[in-house]
Amino acid sequence: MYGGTGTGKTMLSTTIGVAACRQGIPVKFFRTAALVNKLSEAKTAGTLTAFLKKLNKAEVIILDEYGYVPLDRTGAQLLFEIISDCYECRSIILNTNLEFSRWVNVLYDEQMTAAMLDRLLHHYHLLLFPGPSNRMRESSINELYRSISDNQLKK
Amino acid sequence: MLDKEIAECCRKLRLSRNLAELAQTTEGTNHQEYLYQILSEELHYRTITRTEKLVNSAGFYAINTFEGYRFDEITLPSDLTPESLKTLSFI
Repeated sequence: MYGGTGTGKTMLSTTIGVAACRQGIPVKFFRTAALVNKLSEAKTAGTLTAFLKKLNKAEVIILDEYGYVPLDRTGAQLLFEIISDCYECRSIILNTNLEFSRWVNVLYDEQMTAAMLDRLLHHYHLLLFPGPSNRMRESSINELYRSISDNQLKK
Repeated sequence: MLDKEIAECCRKLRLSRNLAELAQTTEGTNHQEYLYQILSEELHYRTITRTEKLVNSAGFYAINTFEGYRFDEITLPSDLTPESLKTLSFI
């Protein structure tokens, strides 16, 4: 799912994830940075295999906020491992505001980025969220702006 | 009468406490119907607890449902429809 911040990617992926759980399909939902942190911690603690085994029980993995935070080299490698593991046997829902050409800025390694995209894009559906941010639209800051501009008009 | 004994059997057989309670409250016109009622209720109960557990352990920040969900600000690819997303056919 590709689109700017606040356009509903997290909401739709959560909705799909909850519906899947209710059909008995195991789902795991992560903010990508948090997953990478967990992976790195598990690697340091020597519990990576156990963590991956647990993760692989999920049939759907949702990676939210992909590309908001740049990853370090180990983190990028670990994330690649997850995506590679999922290839053709599990579904991934990936939410991002980064177009594919800029993924290398998050992963740093061109070859790995190409290999990751290759696996992800073999079977995929691209959902676009072109709308404005729902958070901003619903935010009370709009009223503040309105009152400021009204006051300026009065002056 | 045999509440404790049934509960103890359930525990030893690794059957849920729910089944032990059902055994006290369920009614049937004959033995078979009674047993079927308990077993089918227990299956239903297990499905519910399993899905609840899946939802709770998935790590969602909120629990959203498709009820009232609007797809009008999303561009879906030609091979997907809101219906096919709801039925999870892509998984």
